[in-house]
Amino acid sequence: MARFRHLTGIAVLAPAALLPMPALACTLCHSPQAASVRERLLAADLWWNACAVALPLMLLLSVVALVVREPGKRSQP
Amino acid sequence: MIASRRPLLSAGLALGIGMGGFVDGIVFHQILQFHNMLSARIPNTDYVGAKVNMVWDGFFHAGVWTITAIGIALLWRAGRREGADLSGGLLAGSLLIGWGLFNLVEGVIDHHLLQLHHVYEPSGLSAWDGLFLLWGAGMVAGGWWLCRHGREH
Repeated sequence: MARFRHLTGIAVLAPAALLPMPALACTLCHSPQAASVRERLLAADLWWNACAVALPLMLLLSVVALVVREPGKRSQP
Repeated sequence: MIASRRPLLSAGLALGIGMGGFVDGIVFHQILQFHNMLSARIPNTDYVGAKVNMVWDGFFHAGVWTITAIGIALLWRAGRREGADLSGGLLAGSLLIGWGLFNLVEGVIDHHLLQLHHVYEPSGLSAWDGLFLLWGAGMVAGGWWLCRHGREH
């Protein structure tokens, strides 16, 4: 058991990490700040913002797809 | 395009796009904090605005991660393709082209057309956005040269 003595400190401190702490910086938390963030995120422009963020990445993926597919296979249904 | 080059070229493009996206996200969004994904539409100068932008940055990084994962899969596929050109010049060149394409496409759409954000947000649309496009064009040109001249014999 002497060789496990160095783990004693960890065993004592580890439960402290599980104590409930105010997590104000959490997107899904029940705090006024989190509620404000969600309200702004889910506003009327949600889908516009989502499409705008995705658009460049979709275009770039389509470039990769064009290169991946052999020319003969592109014309196949 | 020679069929033997297509497998590694597509892999390098995807990986270059992904790596370019990560450089943009990590350096400009997080370390230097020059801008965030929607910082021209949702100011990141207050707590809620900064956190909302962080969420959209997260979605952007999720997309970039996905493209990188596709690139890894394509690279594995290229390695298994008999007769595929696996030269270092082609890989390096395609990585550069992919990164450059990221700068060009993301720059034109996000910085100029939709104006979601700008390279240096405090200045709005500025010379930095033009330089970002020039940088992308330069990488595409350099990558193109590498692809053509970097073949193993």
